[in-house]
Amino acid sequence: MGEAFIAAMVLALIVSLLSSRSSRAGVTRAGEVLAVLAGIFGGLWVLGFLPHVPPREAMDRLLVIVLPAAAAAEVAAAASARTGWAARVTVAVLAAPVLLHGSTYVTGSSRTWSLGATLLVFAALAVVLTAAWATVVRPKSRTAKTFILLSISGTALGAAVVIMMSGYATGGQIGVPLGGALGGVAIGCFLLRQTAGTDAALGVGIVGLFGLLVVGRLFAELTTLNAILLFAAPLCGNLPLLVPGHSRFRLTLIALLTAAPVVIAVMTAHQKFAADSARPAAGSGASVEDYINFGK
Amino acid sequence: MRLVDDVSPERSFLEPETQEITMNSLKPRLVLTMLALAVLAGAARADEYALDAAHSAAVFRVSHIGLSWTYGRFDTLSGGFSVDPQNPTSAAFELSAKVDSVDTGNAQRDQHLKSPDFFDAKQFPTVTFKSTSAKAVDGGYEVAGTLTLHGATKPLTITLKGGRTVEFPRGVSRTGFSGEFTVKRTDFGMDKMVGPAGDDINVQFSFEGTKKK
Repeated sequence: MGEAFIAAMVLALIVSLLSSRSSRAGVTRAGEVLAVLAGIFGGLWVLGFLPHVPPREAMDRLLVIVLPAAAAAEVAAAASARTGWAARVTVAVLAAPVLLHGSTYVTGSSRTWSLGATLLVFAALAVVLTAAWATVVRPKSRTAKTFILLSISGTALGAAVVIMMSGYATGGQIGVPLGGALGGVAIGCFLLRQTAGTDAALGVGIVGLFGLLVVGRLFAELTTLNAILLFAAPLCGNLPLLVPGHSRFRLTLIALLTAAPVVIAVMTAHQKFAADSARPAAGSGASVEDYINFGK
Repeated sequence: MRLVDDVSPERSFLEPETQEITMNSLKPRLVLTMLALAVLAGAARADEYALDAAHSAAVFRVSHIGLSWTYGRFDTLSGGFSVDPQNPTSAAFELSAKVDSVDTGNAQRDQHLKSPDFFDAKQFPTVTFKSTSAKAVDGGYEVAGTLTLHGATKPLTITLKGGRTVEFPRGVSRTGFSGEFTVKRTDFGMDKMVGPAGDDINVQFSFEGTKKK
């Protein structure tokens, strides 16, 4: 998994640096989007988890439909703010229905959710994603944007661990290239001392994290509490940016507020995993990673 | 012998040009009619059975890192079938297993098997075999059909041994079959973690059905 993280980060960094050579904002923005996607798919290739095309399951739909749609929305935002927000809201509204398409929650005579409950869940998730999207792209300063990118990157890595311990080993691992790609773009922003296109990476990143958690919660055993903690982590990291203060103190606060929910989620997931593994006849003591790396 | 106007008024109304019918021309029609009646009578005798889930089982085994077999079963089965010993080709079978009922005797592993790493129970809630044709073989039927697993449908031919009919308890006619098959899970898109958990899934099944009244 370390190789996938590094591959994703390096690919995203290279594409990010290349795209920054253009003076046109639209090209830079498209380049950042491309950097994130290249990093994610490069990392997935290293992991050996490329999605099925056409998509068959929820994680395929996240990678093949939702993430590219978020990327397109961010590119559209280069044209005008209004166009960008129309596209972002459209993606936010459609993300959950696309991820849950054909699942037992919404399909069949014995569907888990009634039509009313389905609409309520979809509406709530759309509102949450739109609000989170608006929150992460709101800050204007380069430092703030870079730190938010890093906080989403770190949270994606935490989500990977938590989802893997929640019974979805291959799905959780998708958080590794997501985290790596966002980290690569953040390093690019830091090196170039520019913010052009950062919003695009932030947008794709928050949608990726959202999708990862929705799939982990509804298709695996990720608990609601851990899903909320992980999605809230980068948003909590945003709070210090609302109040004026010494920049070093604020950055420390950002790091702490992001890390705390992630650490709590990892610890609770690990406790549950350890308790389940300790049951009589539960297992051989092999970890999820042992199984994933078997034969490699 | 020549039969003239030996047809009903309705027939003459429908087919006025066939009012003159010879005995020779009547013979093939009689034969066809008798054949049709025989087929219909046969179809009428096809016995329909509802699956007796309490006396049915689908057990599978998968290799664990190439060293041993992990055995599991699906606790919830459903379906039905119809068989006619006089007309074996009319036999039809449809059997389903609920993925959410997978049971390997280890709750943590069962949860993992239900996840998108393997069966993806929330996306693909059932495994279903549906027959398309059947023929009699020694001791049972060879049944061709389709297996739907992990959302993919592939052709599968299985041999069902059994078919003896017993009245148990009194007044309830039942029959049963057994068989097994092996599929590659990757053929059905269940392609994650191949290696730790083997590609070949061997399924052994046995089921009884109670005759519908």
